Amino acid sequence: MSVQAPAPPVEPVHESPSHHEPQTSGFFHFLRTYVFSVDHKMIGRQYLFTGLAMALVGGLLAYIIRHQLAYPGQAVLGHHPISADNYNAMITMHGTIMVFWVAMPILIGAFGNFLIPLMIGADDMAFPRLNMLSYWTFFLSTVVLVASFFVPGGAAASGWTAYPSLSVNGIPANQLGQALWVLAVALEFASMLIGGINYLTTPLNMRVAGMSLFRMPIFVWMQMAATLIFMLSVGPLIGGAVLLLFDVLFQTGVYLPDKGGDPLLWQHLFWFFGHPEVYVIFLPAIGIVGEIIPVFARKPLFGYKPIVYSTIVAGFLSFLVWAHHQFISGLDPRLAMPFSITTILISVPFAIVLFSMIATFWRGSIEFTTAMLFAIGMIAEFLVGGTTGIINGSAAADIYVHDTYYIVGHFHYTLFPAVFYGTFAGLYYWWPKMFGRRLDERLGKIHFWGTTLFFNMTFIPMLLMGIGGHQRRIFDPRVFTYTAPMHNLHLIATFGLYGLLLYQLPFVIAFVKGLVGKRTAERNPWNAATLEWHAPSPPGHGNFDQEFEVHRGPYEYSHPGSEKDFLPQWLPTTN
Amino acid sequence: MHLQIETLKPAEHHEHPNYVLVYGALLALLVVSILLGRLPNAYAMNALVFTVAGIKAILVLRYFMHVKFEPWLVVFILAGATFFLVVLFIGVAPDVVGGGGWIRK
Amino acid sequence: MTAIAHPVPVLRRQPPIIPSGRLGMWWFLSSEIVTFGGVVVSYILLRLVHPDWLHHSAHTLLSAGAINTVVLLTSSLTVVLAHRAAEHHDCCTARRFLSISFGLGVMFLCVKAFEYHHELSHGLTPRTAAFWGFYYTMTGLHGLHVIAGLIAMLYLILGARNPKVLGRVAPVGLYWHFVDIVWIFLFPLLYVTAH
Repeated sequence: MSVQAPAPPVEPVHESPSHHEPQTSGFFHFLRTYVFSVDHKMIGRQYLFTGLAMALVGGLLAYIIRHQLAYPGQAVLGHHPISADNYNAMITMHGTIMVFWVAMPILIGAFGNFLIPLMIGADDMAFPRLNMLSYWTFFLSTVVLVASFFVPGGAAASGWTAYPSLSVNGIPANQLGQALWVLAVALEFASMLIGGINYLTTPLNMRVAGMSLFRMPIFVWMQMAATLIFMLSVGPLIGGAVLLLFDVLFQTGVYLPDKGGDPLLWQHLFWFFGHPEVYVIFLPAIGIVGEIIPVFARKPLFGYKPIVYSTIVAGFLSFLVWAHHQFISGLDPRLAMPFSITTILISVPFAIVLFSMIATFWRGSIEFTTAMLFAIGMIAEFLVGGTTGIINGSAAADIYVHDTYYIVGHFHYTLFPAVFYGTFAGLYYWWPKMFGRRLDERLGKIHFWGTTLFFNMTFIPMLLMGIGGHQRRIFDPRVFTYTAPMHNLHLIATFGLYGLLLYQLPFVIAFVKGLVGKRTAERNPWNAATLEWHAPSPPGHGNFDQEFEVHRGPYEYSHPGSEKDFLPQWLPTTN
Repeated sequence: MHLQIETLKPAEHHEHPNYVLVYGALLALLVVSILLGRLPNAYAMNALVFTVAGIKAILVLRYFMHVKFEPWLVVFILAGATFFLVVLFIGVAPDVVGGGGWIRK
Repeated sequence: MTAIAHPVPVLRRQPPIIPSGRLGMWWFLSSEIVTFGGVVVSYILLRLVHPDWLHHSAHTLLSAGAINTVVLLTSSLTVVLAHRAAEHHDCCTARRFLSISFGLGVMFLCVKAFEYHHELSHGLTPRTAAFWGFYYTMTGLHGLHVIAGLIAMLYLILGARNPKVLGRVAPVGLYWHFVDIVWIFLFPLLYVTAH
């Protein structure tokens, strides 16, 4: 029996795990560095590029959808006009892709992977090989999903919500596409679960000395909260999805009423996850915004601890609100009141978070860089979305607006700012760290104003249409007497989308420019205080090249009594 | 240039409960649950059998999985997951089990 | 090995809360609780409105389920004994116990395969009734987790001489105990209360 020392032993000094054996060239070296990398930064970039590529697909689908709505029955992009079944597949895949293949891989997979170790002073994630597995599972899920477009019967067409019986046997020709949809989504869930282990373990165990939990940047807290919410809510849907697959393949009857099943069970399983999922998307985005605002207002983040506590409360509450998505689908009326109460209640902690961010501006010295513009835009647009959400959350009002374009407007006013403004803000801000170059600020400003103008042009008409009673998921609005008169609003929305898509071109140009050419960005171009700016731009293996500890919180800007404009976390205290 | 990492390891617990004793208890409880399965009253039978299952699970958790010796964070994680399962059950039951609020003649 | 005077800079870290291997596994297990729990909750809900499922569930083999429960409980014991040995850096004992666990896990799969063969040859497929959909989903998912656990154990057995591998017995053990706990609930659900 070995004798253990009484004091906590110091773990032997070891090499940072991302130190590889020297291998300078060759095909395998290329594979190891760029394809099968275990480095969190490379994995983050892989997620980013895959997510952005899928955003192009999702955007193309949006184009086809809006084209059909503005010019029903006309040929799209030189091809024949789309059929009603095709339309349903378009809207299904647009929603599915945007939520699972754009929002999550970019906000969590890309930004989370790239930034978490850097922000806490670590050299990599806790489980680098698991990290790599998570990306390649995600890649596989992407292949399966894209393949579903090309199988006989086409891609799934029962909505991103895949309600049975429609998804089971409602469109007999579509069953292969639906089965592939279930498989792709299941793989994507598995990849995020695997990745999630890293996002939760790394910040708890690998913070550099001096970084207590309340000295972590708010972005890390948000990633942890989002990950925990995801991990505790997705399970029932994974089980439910396997059962749906059995129903599709074997007509088992778990969800089919004529076989004794209950379609409402699927709805509950779906939304039990589906609602927390929207916070899984929102929290990393607001975390990005929470990093950017203090830097460009030269002020500490207002209410850091209330934001953390509110996020925890909101995360908890997010599990108690799901049935507000089911108010008019035959839900037990006795559940309407409790779920309305919890839904309205959850707006309180989120309001605390948002208004704390806004309060950070007060008496700040504001610099309107592109990142800052997108951060402000995210909050402003999201507030519109959140306010419309209050109406939806009250069951009595929801009866009128549910399944109309009001809901479509609501969730685009929340999701688009979170996903796209959040992503753009993050990219314009962290690009120097990721790629060693700056994104063109002038193109960025054009990108921002164009996006904002045309985003609102696209979605304000939808809020109006919804109040006017226009249902969603309608292939040809001309056939109904009460939707036909709203065609003008459809035209405005479609023009808005054309403009929105067009104004992504400045970003594409800036993106390409930002990947080529000399690496001229400094270590800390924005004079920010968080640890990622202490590493080289871009960081090499092991991230940091100097010894340091953390001496203060992450937002010491314009500290009263200090001569310096900001006090970075790594700077030792002078006295 | 790469850096070297130095971490303080937390003190590993060294208590090891009597695993064979726990195993014996688990086997005994298995026999009990099979016998309880023969009770005629369905409610009592289900309640008792699942209580026994719960006790077995807690024994495995506390002793085999060392939850007894782990920081409170682990209990918190497990309790959270279980709590949300209960929430799922309560939220769905009125629809699936309770007839969905429809009055049946 | 103690810290030595080093010319290369050193990054010191905050002490970890729980060693990363175990902490990571606990997070993973929390998601597994809601995954299996979700299927179980769905099953219970539908079962409560379908007392007629008793006709179907009566066809599960109680004796096979009981044998499998004993097998898994025993394998849990040997895994935790392997963990104790690993903590004492006794790689031979650890390897021995892990091999027993591995063998028991294979035995579990054989009994399960026998059961599936029995049920399928009697025409009890997912097509037959929703109960069987649930049965195959729950036991199938569980079986896949058993296979994954066996692969992990094989890795531990083959690499037991390496102290780094030996240090991974703890998280793999946690996983295996969890798989055992799932079965502790599946057994009464699908076998004891089903008859």
